[in-house]
Amino acid sequence: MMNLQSQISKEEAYEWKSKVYSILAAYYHNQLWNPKDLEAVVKVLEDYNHLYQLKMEDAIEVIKSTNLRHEEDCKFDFNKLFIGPYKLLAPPYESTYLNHDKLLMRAETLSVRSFYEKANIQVDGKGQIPDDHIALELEFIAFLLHQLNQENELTAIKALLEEFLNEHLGKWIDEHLDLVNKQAKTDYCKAWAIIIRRIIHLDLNRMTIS
Amino acid sequence: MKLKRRTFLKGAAATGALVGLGATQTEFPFQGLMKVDGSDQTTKKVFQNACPRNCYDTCSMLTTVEDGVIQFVEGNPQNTYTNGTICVKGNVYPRTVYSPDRIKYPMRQKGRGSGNWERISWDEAYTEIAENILKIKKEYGSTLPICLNKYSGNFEIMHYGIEGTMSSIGYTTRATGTPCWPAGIDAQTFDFGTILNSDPEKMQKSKYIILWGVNPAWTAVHSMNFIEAAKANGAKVVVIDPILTNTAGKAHDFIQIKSSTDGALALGMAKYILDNGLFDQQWLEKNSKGYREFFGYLDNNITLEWAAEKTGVSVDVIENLAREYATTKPANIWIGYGMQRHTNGGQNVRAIDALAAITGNVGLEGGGANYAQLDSWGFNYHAMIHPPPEGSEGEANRPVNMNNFAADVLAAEDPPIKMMWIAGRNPVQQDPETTLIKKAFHAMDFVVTADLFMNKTVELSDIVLPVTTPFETPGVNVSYWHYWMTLNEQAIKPLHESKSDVEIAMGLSEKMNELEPGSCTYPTSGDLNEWVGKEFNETILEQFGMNTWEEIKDGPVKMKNMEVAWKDGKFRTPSEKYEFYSEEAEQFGHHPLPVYVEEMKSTEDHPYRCITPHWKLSIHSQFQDLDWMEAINDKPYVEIHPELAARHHIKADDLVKVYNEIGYVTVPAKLTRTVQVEEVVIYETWYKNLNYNVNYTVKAIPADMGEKATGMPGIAFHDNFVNLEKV
Repeated sequence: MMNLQSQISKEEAYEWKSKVYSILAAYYHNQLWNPKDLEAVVKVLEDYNHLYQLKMEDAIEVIKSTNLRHEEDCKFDFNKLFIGPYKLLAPPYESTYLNHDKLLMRAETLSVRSFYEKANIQVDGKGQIPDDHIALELEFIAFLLHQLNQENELTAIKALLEEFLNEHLGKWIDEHLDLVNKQAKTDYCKAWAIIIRRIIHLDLNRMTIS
Repeated sequence: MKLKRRTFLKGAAATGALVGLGATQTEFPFQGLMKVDGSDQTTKKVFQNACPRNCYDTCSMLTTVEDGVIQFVEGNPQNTYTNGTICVKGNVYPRTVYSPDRIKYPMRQKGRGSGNWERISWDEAYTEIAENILKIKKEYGSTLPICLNKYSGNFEIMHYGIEGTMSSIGYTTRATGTPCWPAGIDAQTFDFGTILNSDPEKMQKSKYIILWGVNPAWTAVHSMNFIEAAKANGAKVVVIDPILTNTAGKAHDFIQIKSSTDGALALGMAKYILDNGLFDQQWLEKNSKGYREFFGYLDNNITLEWAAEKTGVSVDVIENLAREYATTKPANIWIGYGMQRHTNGGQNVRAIDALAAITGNVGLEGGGANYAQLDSWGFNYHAMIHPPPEGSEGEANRPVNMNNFAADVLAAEDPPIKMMWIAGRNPVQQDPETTLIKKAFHAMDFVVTADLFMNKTVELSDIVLPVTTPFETPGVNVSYWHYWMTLNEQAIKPLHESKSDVEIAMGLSEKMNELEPGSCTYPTSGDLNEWVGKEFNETILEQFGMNTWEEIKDGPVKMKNMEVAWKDGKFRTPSEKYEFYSEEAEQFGHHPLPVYVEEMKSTEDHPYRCITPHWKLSIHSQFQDLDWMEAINDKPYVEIHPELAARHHIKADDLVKVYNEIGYVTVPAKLTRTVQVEEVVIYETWYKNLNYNVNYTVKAIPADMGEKATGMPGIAFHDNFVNLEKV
């Protein structure tokens, strides 16, 4: 495992991670429905799986083998979990897990907002889209990882990244994915939950970033 | 194992097209985030808002916003009716705004009722709606097959933009009338010329208050303050109701009356007042028309024994009530809406009005027969009034009866109704005859619903449009009970992709004109804050003592000179007098006098009356679905008197099937002596997690009145007869 990782530079590793988190963000941004895009995404995930030995080949295989005929079911399933219009089966917002009110735009949301501000980032549609939507949190991580290759203040960015993962996404991702696993009707959405969990856990368990 | 770098790079390139990775390596491909220079200042600001729900109180609210997020909502003390407090429902507003379950995006259902929804953009939504409208217009030569059903979900003035949407595409079919209060409106229109109540804050001047079929402790909580103030000043409070309500619990006397016999009680009282010379001859001579005929009717037809027999109220109680009412001045009667939801409801209101008139309580501070008012609603309705496109077929909109909606929609011909637009309503949950309502929905080619939450009506729609809460769009509000006007400021940005009804109208207009130029007259842009100003005119400014409309930005304002209704004695009837004898009533098929009309009777198969009043934690299907309300109460029940329960071997919490010839509802029993033996009570609310709907048993029986003032008769909701069966 270490051998594989030793084949790439630190910079390349950051870029891989950034892109993988961007893919997860795209999934939650409801942008990953084009079969061609999905095909490309699967290849990236396969490589990432090899690189870090994440044991998610079965889950990737499910996504790979999902054909267009089933795509509509997957979409409806995805919508019931994360979009609506029914009561969401697995709300994609941090505050609905961590705040006792189970509402949107709570203290957790604003805390996430202040993390974004530290990196001179804000939600496109601030005040309308809750800052702690999982797609935005994943995108933020992808952004910070990308910054590791761009900026000089590596220590500060690494600290921010580590803190954000541990204080925010890491605190609710399991409960969220457990819900997805319980409520999803399609193997497709369940497979994504496995992939997302493995990828995030890798970085939660040990800071593979450094 | 060798890392397949080539694959990765290839993959990254393809993904790039998707997530923007195609840019140079140094630029991060943002999807939902963006770069900014520094952060916005954290600001705390208090905004004015108004509760737009279908409620007497129309509260003036203050909304504290920090970081663009509502922190809490409270009552605005500048409005002396709201007086700094709001009700349990209002306090829960942030939980509406920030509920994770709000409808967030325009969505399309693949197969009506399938539950399979896909997210679409606003542009796709507008396109599909516009194409359907244009297709219908082409096929039928007019837009009459399009039917709007909009009513009381939001009474803010700019929300009449929904009607404007329809007007601006041509002549359409409109659900016409009001389920709530029309029989009483007509009754007061025949008597007084219109509905007009005294400023409810003046109730504290009363020495005697009769709360007749109204439960303000649940449904107009702020009025209780004035009732309590009157009590503190020595007033006596009497509640007349078929149910021992919370309000009754706060009264000195509670008179439990058989439902729908209120007119008999009023006439019995009037007879006592006449026989004992307690009427105000002077007032009658000066201000009324036909009182002699009315007295003649009382003399010839009414006895206290008859009234006692009819109402279940004993003769001595009627005598005592009549004597106290006629000899304690000022005496105020508040006539509720519940008691006019009968086949004789309007006639009963006329009889109660007559009591106030013969005792000279009309036009008296602290007196009156107070029902409602619409005098403070004289806006321009700028958002609503738009001309049909040039060359539109037809001459006028086609009305269908909102109170018999399903049957009317299904029966419509030449042209039939093919498309429905639903806004501010939830007919599949709240209209009578649910089975038929569903049939009507299924008969449509296309159904669009604009709403905040998934509900039974959205379930049967093809497209759902997410709408704003009162905090997310500007407007202006008045009440049908008190006389305050409140500016509704936009306190926060609209969450998710929600839009106000006016914005929806503008967006649709743009798309219609793009697809077929000239097909929609609604403006395609405009500043909504400026649009609020366009609602004002000279008359309304003068009524409220304002020089410019912007003065409302300083806080709620109250309409002038409304302390005492009919103080000037200028009634708006044809004779300009109070009309005991109304030719107008006669023209609409009623007796010209407030005579008693027989109440609807139970049958052998369905021996019990089932009353479906308002529930304390909801307004129709709003609010009860929120988590805090569910935490207080999450299940319906049928209230049954222990004696009746014993007759059917029903114990507390037993499941009971309440049924009649059109349907049934199964609910747990609550045994209580607050209801009468031959009547059961089920509250007409909606529980989002339960398949419960009392309207499966409620028939669309018309009330006696409503046609004159509202275009259609009301619904006799409480003339619903059922049988019980332990499950």
